[in-house]
Order: sequence, then C-alpha cells, then structure tokens
Amino acid sequence: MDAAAQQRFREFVAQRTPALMRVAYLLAGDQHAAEDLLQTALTRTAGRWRHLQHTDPEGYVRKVMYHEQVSWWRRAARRRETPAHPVPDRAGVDPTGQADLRLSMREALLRLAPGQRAMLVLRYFDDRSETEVAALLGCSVGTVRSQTYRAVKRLRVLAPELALFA
Amino acid sequence: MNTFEDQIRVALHKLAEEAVPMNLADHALRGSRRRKVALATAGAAVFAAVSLSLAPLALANVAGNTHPEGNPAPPATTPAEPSPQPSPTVTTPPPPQTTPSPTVAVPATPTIAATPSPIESTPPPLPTPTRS
Repeated sequence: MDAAAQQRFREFVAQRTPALMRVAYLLAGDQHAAEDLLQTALTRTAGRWRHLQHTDPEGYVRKVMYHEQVSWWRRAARRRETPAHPVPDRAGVDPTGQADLRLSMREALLRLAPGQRAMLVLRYFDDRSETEVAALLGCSVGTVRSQTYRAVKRLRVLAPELALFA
Repeated sequence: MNTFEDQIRVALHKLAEEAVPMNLADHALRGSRRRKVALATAGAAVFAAVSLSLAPLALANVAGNTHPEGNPAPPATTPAEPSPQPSPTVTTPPPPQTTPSPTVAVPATPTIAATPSPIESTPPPLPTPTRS
C-alpha cells in the first residue's frame, strides 16, 4: 500500500471507528473483545484496501465482523484466553433504570448464541431488512426470519425485565 | 409484540453507547503487513515441503521406467537423466561372466585329449592283404 492509500485508510478509520466500534461492542459483548474484533476486521480490510477504497469499505468491515463473530475458530481462540485482571465490581441499582436496562441487555446478549446475537444487532441496531441480512450473512431469508424469531423468544426468557421498561 | 422489539432496539442503542472508540488504523496497517509476510512464508514452506516430498517419488518413477533393458526410453520428458544411471547397472553383470571364462578355458584343454581318440579308432587295417 502506498503512502496516499495509507492516508486514505487512516482517514476512513478515524471517521468510521465510533460507529464500527458500537457494532463490535454489541457483537462481542465487552470493550476488549470489541477492539480485537474490530482490529481483525480492519486488518483484513487494509489487506484489500486497493480494491475496496473505491467501493464500500465500511460494508466490508461490517461483513467481516459479523462473519468473524460467528466463526468457530475465533470462538475457540478466545476460549483459551485468560483474563489478566479480575472483572470490575457490578454497579448498584440505578434509580433511572437506564443502567439496569443496559446491564440486563448485555447479560442477555452474552448468553445468546453468536449467530442469534448477530441477527439481533443487524435487525434491531442496524435496522437492516431481512433480505439485506440474508445477503450479508450468506443465508436464506427464511433462516434470518427463524433465527431472529428464536433470538427474540430467548431474549424474552433471559431478560423478561426488558418488557417492564417499555 | 412491537413494544418488546422496540425495547430491544432502545436497549441495544443504550448498550452501544458504552463502547469507547479508539483509533486502530496503525494497528490494522501493521497487522496487515504481518499477515502478508506470514502468508508468503507459509506459502513458501508449503511449496518446499511438497516439492521435497515429491522429488524422491519422481526419481523413483524415472528409475522404474528405465529398468527394463534395451527399451529405447519412449518418455521424451527426461531422456537425459536415465541414461547415465542404468548403464552402469546393466554393464556390470557381464564382466563377472567374462572373468571366469579364462578359468573355464583351462579345462577346455581336454579338447586336446579328445583329439587322440580318433587316432585310436584308426588301427583296424588287418584283414584285406590275405587275398592272394
């Protein structure tokens, strides 16, 4: 990659990182895993930057993130990791309910299968249609529909309090 | 039904706000360079391993093709290599056969003993002179 292309890549990353990091955070479940996921996707994007820079690099990054998240290899590699520091203490009850909402959502998301989590993020965070999700993940619309249905059903069981915040 | 799905939407957006953005461009560029080097190294290693494992097989195949003697090597792909190797193996057997031949030639002298035998068989010239 020449200097000009590197500069364009840096600009793209600086501009799109906040949005991409949010998606990575929802997919991965914590900050470090999200950084790792996004960096993997950006590394692969940098390798193909010559072809991608004139098309849709952000779409490619998102696609890599979704596929990486569902990848068996990645999950196996992450399972071998051991935390160097203990997990920080959980915060107390939040009177506004916002923190509780976030915490229960995070807990529930982490207990979903990676594929179901990706479906929820694509459908309810990215607001993509079933057809778009099917094209992105390389599966049929029927699969998207059934996976989303199962994910929502499981979320109702895992986080029934979500209904209370409505 | 819709309210729960809307609630999922709200909760996901709230949760996503926790993410702390950080610039990963330099890490990604370095990682991409490392990935390219690793891929090239792995490719070279695989090529070397495959060629090393196939070379003995190819040599054995060539040697096997040229073993039947007298065949004027039809494969035109590697005609130069097989000729120097099999020729010593084919030419070596005759010398042991030729070297014992002098020792065999010594007993061949009895052929001289065989020549006197016709001389011994000639003596019977007796009866004919008594006719007168």
